[in-house]
Parts: sequence; structure tokens; C-alpha cells
Amino acid sequence: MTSLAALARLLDKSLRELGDAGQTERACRLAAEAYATLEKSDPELAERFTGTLHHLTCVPRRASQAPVSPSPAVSRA
Amino acid sequence: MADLTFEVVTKWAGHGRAAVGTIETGGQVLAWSVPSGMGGKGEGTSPEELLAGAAATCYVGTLGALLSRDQLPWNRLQVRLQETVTDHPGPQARISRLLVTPEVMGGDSNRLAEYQLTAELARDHCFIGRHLRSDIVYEVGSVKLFAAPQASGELDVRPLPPAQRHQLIFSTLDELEAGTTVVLVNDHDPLPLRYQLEATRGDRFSWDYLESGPKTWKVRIGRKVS
Repeated sequence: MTSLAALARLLDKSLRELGDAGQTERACRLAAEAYATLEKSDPELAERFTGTLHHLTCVPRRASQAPVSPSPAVSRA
Repeated sequence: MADLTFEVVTKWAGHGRAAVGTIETGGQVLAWSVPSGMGGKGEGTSPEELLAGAAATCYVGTLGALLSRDQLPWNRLQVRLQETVTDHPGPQARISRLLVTPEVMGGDSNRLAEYQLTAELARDHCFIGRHLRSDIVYEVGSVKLFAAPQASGELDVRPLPPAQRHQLIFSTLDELEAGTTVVLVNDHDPLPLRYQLEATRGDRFSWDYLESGPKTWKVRIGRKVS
């Protein structure tokens, strides 16, 4: 495993723990930034953060937490 | 009649014009500084942009109210405001001109002249603009009308393996023309996609849920008019 892949794995784990600690919105934004950072240079590694985002936004797990929405001004129907 | 009061709190720390400040307004904290073109740090917004923002927000709200009053159809408005500072640098530097250019989504193109008249009336009625007009030339540009967003179709990604979905969606969205939409159909809430869209493409797309589970999610995603 390369150093970058190892760091991505560590970041993935950290973001999941941040989400589990109730900071879902922050964790989602950071995961999306990580995805954007790697999207062009390492698409395969970027996909790890797509998985992170799906974990963080999984409705049943997050039902008891504050609603997740990237743009507070846009309401979810 | 009673007086109304409004309050913001601003802070400023650093050295001279190269400091950085914050302004607390509406429960939000914004960073601001002197623009780099005026010898400042150019971080965050600036007093010049905040003035432009005050004029633009007041104008667009007034325009919406007047269009509705005059029964001119619209479903979304966008206003570009250009602010000109003249004779800078120097002691005569001043804000000399504001130019607002309204864009009306969902407008009736057969009534363009009426939209233009209402746009100019909004400038005259705008509460903030009225205060600025004694010192600043405040002009209204040509109103741009856009038809209501047309659905370009439906993109059902449910039959695809999850790993292929996002790339197909991204490429579809990148090909959307301004003012058009596509309805995304998925078997889970596509919130991850929304975060990725905002991180990679900024604020270029609108996002409206049409159906929110429990088995099917439909979201109308539109390419905004830039």
C-alpha cells in the first residue's frame, strides 16, 4: 500500500469517526473535498471517499441525528 | 409608527490595511478585508462587496414583489450587480456607479418591455437603492428572460452497478445546458452525489427532491444560468 493510500484509509476512518461523533455535516463536506482532491489524479482512491459519503449519509444510521444537507438554504422535499 | 433597528458586529485584527476582519450578521460570520486592489489582503468579502450585496439583495426582493404585483410570470430571479470605484487610488476615490442586470427565469418573452419597465421601477422603489441614488449613478441593464427550465429527461441509474453511477451522472450533468434539468432516479438518497457536486462544481446546479424514498428517490437537478 502506498503512503497516499494509507493516508486516505486513515482519513476515511477519521471521517467515519467524526460522523459517529455527531459531526456528520462536517465529515461529509471533508469527505467530498477529499474526493475532489483525488478525482483527477487518482480516481480509484477518490472512490474510497464516495464510500465514506454513503456511510455517513446512510439514513437508518443517522435517523437520530441532525438532518444532513449540503445547502441549508435548499430544503429537502 | 415605531423605529426599527438593525445591528451587525464587525471585528478587525492585524496591521494597518492588511488586517482581516469578521462581520456577524444573520447568525453567520463572514470574513472580510480590504480588497487586494486597494492595498488590503483580499481575503473574504469586502466593504465594497457588502455594499453591492445590500443593493443587490434589496433590489432582487423588490423586483420579485413588483413582478408578482404586475402579474408578470417568473419562477426564479438572478441579479448581477456591478459596482464601479472611480479615481482610485487617491483622495477622490469614490463609488460612482451601480449597474444591476436582472435575469428572469420562467419569464414571458412576449412581454419583455414590461419586464424592463418593472426592473427600472424596482430600482426606484428599492429601499436601499433609494438611499444610494443621491450619491451614486444607479442604472438598470437590459433584462434577460429565460424560459422555464425544461426537463431534459430522466436518468435512472438503478440498473447500473453502484461504482458506475456517479461517473455517468457527472458526465450527464456536465452536458446539461444552462436552464435545463434532468431527473435523477436512484434506489437511495443521492446525498453523497450532492456533496461531491458541490465540492467539484461549486454552486452550478440546483437540487430539488421530487420523491424521497423509501424505495425510490427522484431528484430534479438543474444547470443554473451563470
